[in-house]
Amino acid sequence: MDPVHRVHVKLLACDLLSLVPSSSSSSLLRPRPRPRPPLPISRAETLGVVVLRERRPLLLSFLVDDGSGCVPCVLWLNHLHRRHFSASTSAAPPLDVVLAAEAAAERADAVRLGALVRVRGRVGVYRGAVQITVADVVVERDPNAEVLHWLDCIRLARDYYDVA
Amino acid sequence: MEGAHVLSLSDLLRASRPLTGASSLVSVPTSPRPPPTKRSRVETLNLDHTTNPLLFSDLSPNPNPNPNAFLPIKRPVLLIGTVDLLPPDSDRCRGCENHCLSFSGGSSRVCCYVLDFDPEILRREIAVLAWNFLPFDRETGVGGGGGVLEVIRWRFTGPATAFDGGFLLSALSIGSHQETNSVVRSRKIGVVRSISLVFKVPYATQHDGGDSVGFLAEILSCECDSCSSALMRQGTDNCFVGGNDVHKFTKPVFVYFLNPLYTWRPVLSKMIGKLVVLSGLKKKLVFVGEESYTMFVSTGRTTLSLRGLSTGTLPSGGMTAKDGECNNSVYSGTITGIYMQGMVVELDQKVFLLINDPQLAPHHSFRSGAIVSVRNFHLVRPNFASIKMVLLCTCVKTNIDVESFSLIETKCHLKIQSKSLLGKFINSLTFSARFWVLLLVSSFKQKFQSVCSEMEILGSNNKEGLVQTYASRWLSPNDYQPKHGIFMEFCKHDSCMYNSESDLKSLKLVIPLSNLISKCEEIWVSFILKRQKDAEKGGLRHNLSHFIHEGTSCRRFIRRIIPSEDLGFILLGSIKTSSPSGRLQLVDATGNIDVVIPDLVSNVNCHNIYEIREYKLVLEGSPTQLDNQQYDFGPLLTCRAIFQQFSCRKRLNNITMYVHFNLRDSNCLHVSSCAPSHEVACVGLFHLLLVKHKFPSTDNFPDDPKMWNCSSLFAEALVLPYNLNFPEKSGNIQPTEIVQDMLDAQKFVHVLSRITTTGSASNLRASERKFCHNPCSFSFRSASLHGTLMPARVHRSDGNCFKDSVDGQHNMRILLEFKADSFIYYQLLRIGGYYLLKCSSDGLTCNLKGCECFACGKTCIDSQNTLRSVSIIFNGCNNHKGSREEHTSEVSSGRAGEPRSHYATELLLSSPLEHFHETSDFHLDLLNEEHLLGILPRPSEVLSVSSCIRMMTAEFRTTGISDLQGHWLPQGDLVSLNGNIEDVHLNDCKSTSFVSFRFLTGSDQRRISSVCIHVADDTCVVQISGHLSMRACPVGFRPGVKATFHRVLMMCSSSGRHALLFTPVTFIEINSIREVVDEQSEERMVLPTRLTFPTEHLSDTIPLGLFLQLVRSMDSKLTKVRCRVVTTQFLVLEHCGHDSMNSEQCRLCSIPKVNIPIAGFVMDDGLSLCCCWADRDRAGMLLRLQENAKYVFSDAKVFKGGGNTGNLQHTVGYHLQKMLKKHGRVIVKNHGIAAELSCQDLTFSCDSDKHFSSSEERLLKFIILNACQGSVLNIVGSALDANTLRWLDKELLELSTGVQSMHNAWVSEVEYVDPLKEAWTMLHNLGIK
Repeated sequence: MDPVHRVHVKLLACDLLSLVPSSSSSSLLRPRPRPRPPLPISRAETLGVVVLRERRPLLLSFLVDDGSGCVPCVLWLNHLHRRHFSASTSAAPPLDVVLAAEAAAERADAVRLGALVRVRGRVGVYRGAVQITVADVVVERDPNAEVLHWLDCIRLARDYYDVA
Repeated sequence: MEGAHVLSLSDLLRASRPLTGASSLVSVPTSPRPPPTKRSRVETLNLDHTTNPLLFSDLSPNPNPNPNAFLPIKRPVLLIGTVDLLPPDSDRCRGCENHCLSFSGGSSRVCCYVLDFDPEILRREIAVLAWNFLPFDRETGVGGGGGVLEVIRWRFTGPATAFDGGFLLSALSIGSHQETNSVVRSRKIGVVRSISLVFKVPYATQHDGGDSVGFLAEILSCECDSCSSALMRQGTDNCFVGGNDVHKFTKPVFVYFLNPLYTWRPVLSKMIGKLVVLSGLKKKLVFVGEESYTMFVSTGRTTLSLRGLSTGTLPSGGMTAKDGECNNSVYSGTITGIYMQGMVVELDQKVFLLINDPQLAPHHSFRSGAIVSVRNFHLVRPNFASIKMVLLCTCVKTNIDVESFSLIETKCHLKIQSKSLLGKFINSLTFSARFWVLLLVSSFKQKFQSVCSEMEILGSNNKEGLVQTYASRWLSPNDYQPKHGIFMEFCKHDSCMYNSESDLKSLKLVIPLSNLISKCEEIWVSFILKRQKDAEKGGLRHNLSHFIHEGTSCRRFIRRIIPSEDLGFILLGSIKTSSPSGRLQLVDATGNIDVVIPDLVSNVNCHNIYEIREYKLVLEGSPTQLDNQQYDFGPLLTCRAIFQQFSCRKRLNNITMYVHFNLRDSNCLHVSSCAPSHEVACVGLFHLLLVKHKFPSTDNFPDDPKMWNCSSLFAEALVLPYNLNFPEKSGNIQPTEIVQDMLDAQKFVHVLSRITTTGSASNLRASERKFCHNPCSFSFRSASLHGTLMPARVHRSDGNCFKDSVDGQHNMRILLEFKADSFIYYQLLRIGGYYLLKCSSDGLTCNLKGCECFACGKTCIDSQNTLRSVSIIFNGCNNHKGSREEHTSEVSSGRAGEPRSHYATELLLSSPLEHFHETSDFHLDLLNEEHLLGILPRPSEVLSVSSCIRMMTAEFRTTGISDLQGHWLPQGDLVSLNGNIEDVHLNDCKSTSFVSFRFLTGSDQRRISSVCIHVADDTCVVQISGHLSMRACPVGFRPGVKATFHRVLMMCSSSGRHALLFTPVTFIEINSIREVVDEQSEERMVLPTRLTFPTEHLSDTIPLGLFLQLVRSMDSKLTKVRCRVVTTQFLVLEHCGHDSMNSEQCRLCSIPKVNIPIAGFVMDDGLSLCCCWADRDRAGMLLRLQENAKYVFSDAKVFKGGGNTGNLQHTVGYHLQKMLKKHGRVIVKNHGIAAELSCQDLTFSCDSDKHFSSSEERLLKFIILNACQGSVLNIVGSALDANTLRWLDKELLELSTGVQSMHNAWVSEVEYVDPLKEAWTMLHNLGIK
């Protein structure tokens, strides 16, 4: 398998939203000029401003606008839901689950409207639309980080993603 | 006895060799027994023949290979003769008259010693059934030959008769003429408690005109009524009735056996503990000086008879005594060693018998292997030298008896001591002090036998020797005991001095250096074995013992620094230099050991003996696997080893040992009279030199060790254009006249010079004040010197002045050559130090051009042409640093203004140049500082590691790679570098780590190896590589030292990587060392790519790439990659006990003081994953420890505290430190897939046996989770090759296959991303306008 499959591919929103589902795997495919086959992508990284934030009981959904488009992101907050860690009703949640829940909650707090965030996660399709299931969120304090991200995306796409 | 052959005494004497025989011997002949001859059947006492063929037939066929061993006679033999007292007119030695009986047979008579002595044996014919015969040495034996017969078993030849209790000895029988006509009524019954030796009262005190010879006996009498009444019944033999329980023998009575009854002493010594009846005594008041003693004196009618009652038996194989007590103390044991001519005897290998008078022992039979009993001794347990020992000390009352003869030794080691000063000195000491001095004598004889004559060591009858001089220095008045006469010591024994033993804690053993070396090996082996045991318990602890990469690490290395207080002995020896390396050594006749003397001064005399009481013993080496049984060092530092002069040899080759001490803490024992003095040497004209460089030892004659002594050492110096003139000696400080230089008045410099050692401060101040007003003169503080500093022109042959190309001064560069006998002066030299060199010319002025001292640009330094160090100060204060700061702004922070020691166990091996004035011979006080810059050349810079890297980076930018094309030889600048040596490894070794260590410990000093040395300061590490000779490595050249490398080549390789290279002239100076006991805490990742650079320079020079480019780089070229942490694959966290990080800074920033030997991170650059390995600060950045520290951590939750949380004890850093302090080391492994982090895949292990709590697990997981949620970072790294990866895999245990399938890189630097700067660069690179 292409090594890109395991990495968080840096894509602009316009490219990310143009991914198509693969019929053979859970990955999404990035179309490439012929004769190169589509590039399978399972993880992605995007960077942009949070323009929409919707908090639900077990998840946080938000939109990241990087200037080329808005990427739907979903951050699950259901780690402490019993069905996720134990069948026993009396057992305390495992430490790993607690830590993951705390981390997710912290990420959720970081996702605020107008914040410049770097989001990494698995890419998937929900109701026909590409979205990122968030693995981590980093708030970038320097707005120049967005420009640098663009340039990184351009460099990688031009020199590697669409060439290899 | 049937069939036993009778030997005559004359046969034994004629045989004149040690023999042993027995009558009941049943021998199994190996050859047919020869038919008995006629004469052999004549078993009579009157065996009248000149030669006994039986005896000699036994001797001749089987000559004993050792004529000094006892030869057993193979057939039953016996001796027949009579045992009697030695006649009073016998010319036997004094030892004989105290212990020996005589055995006569025929016309011959020999000394005799009877084991199971029976009073009836005297004057009766006996058959000796078992015996040893020991002839006297004809050269030393008194009486011109003879011998001693040791009677083991005997019987009467006539019919046995029961002892009737009658007279055993009578004065009449030996013809005593003392007062035979006077009425003597005194009679004493009692138990013999002790007897003295036979002594002589000088003629002057006697009325009858002859010396009085006799001995004293102490009889314990009974004062009960029956005894008192019995004593009144004169002439009745049955005067004493009753049993032991009736009588109490407690009252001491002293009997003085006078001439000729002193011959009874051998019999009386056998009567000790027995009940005797003495009659014919006369009660007298004996005056000795002003003292008077009431005692009973023997007369011509004195008789001695024995009663059947016995008062106890002698216990054997043990000791019954209390400390210091004399009476009734008994010890019986086997002689296992006789030392110091019999003054010290070892019994049972556990106690020492200290014999104050050799006559106390029956010296014929007092041989090794004999069983002896000692009565009435003083039990002393000395408390010096930290060696446990028990002393049995003899006094006038002590009696030594032989219970069993020795057949393993024939030589008697007891010698009557001549009354030398040393002997008198020893006898004047307390028991413990006496024993210490005897140890000293043995040790000194062993140590200095090749340096001094025995007379110099021991002294003579009228001159003190070295031992006495030395011992007198350390013995306190309490260590001396007053001497009394024999009467007082015997009769008033308990009130004498014997019960007081002074505290001897200040006395320490002086041991031969060979014993010291073996002791070091013993300490080392025991330490390693203990580590091995601990390691066996530890398990995982040593899985991460060290890391290797290109070269082989010396990291498995231990250095122990042992203070002298823990060793309990002091060192004595001469300070010399070894050829050809020039290393300083402490030397005695038994061996030598390297020494490091930070305050070495020029007047150290190689011929003197130095005493070093305070020192540090340094042991260093690799902890190789040792077999416990392989090294049995035996008793190395026991008294026995010192007395035996036990010769040790070095057995371990993988350790290095040396001694560190300061000369100011040592004492000089002035044996040599050829010590140079300043007053003698410092007259005349002197050149002023600045030492620029010292060249390491070279192999001038590599193939001929005999020529090593002809080798030379060299140094480079600048001759300053000024000479110092000391025209004459003077006893007072006198202002000198103004010296006007007629040649160059502009360059005249006014100085005040002095010698620091003597002189009055008040005088100095007065003179200084005076000179301040008169700046054109100078003087010396010393009472002996005046001088002037005058310019000296330096001309070349063409008439122009020499001009130093570097300094732009009129300085002449010369080479100083040191021959083998002057290596000590080479050791004295400090690079950057000023020195005075005596000019060979006789005039008051000297032109450097024509001076013979510098002919051919070289001068030879020897004992006649020495260098004197001089420090230059300004207006009376040491302004050395201030004067140089503007020249040496780049001087390493490690040298300028740093604390002397980072570590408690750090030792300074060379004092900083700033402290040069403390050890310099002279101080030059410049009154006018402005002139300084005119005469002092610019000293060489010593760079810190950081400064060096900055310089290398700048060189890289400006020079580039292309400039180096076409050069066949390395090009660059010679620099001096100071830093901590973190690692030393061989470049040409791939397999085993110990090979490289042998480079440093091997005996082949001529070996040259390609090595790589990692030198670090607090922030950066550089490596210096190249070929280095073992001989060029100074003492202590190992990891864990701070060193200065002079003249290493800074160059840029063709691959664009800058490098530091050793050159043949590189000189390494060790500044300080520290203890490395726990190698785990000292581990560092030893990778070549750990070369670190300041980030501001690095980011500009390293191109941005991706992991794919990084790993495909063939020559491990550094590449910058912008990436993020995905997971932490492997992590080792250690407690950092002595982090170089400023502790206050850490506290304020809450940065955990954590050592990270190695950590593996899976990084993602957007195109591929790569496993990046990092250590220390770089791993800390990737873990975001600094950011983590700002988070408040509690058992309930983690939340961001901002930095103003108020309570540092809740920070991550605090908890992490606390955890590591508890567990020491924690290892985290990730067994999950490489691309994702799941806390469930993390496993933790720690070194300690303590419980790893859930909160600790939570903390670690939080740190790792947080590390994976950071922003992008720039890393600079290079690829790891497959071999290293395999090795890492093996060492780090079962890395997941995911990591193995990934690319691996070593992270040299981590930096935060500056998005704007990076974006502009990318825009430029992408060609986007």
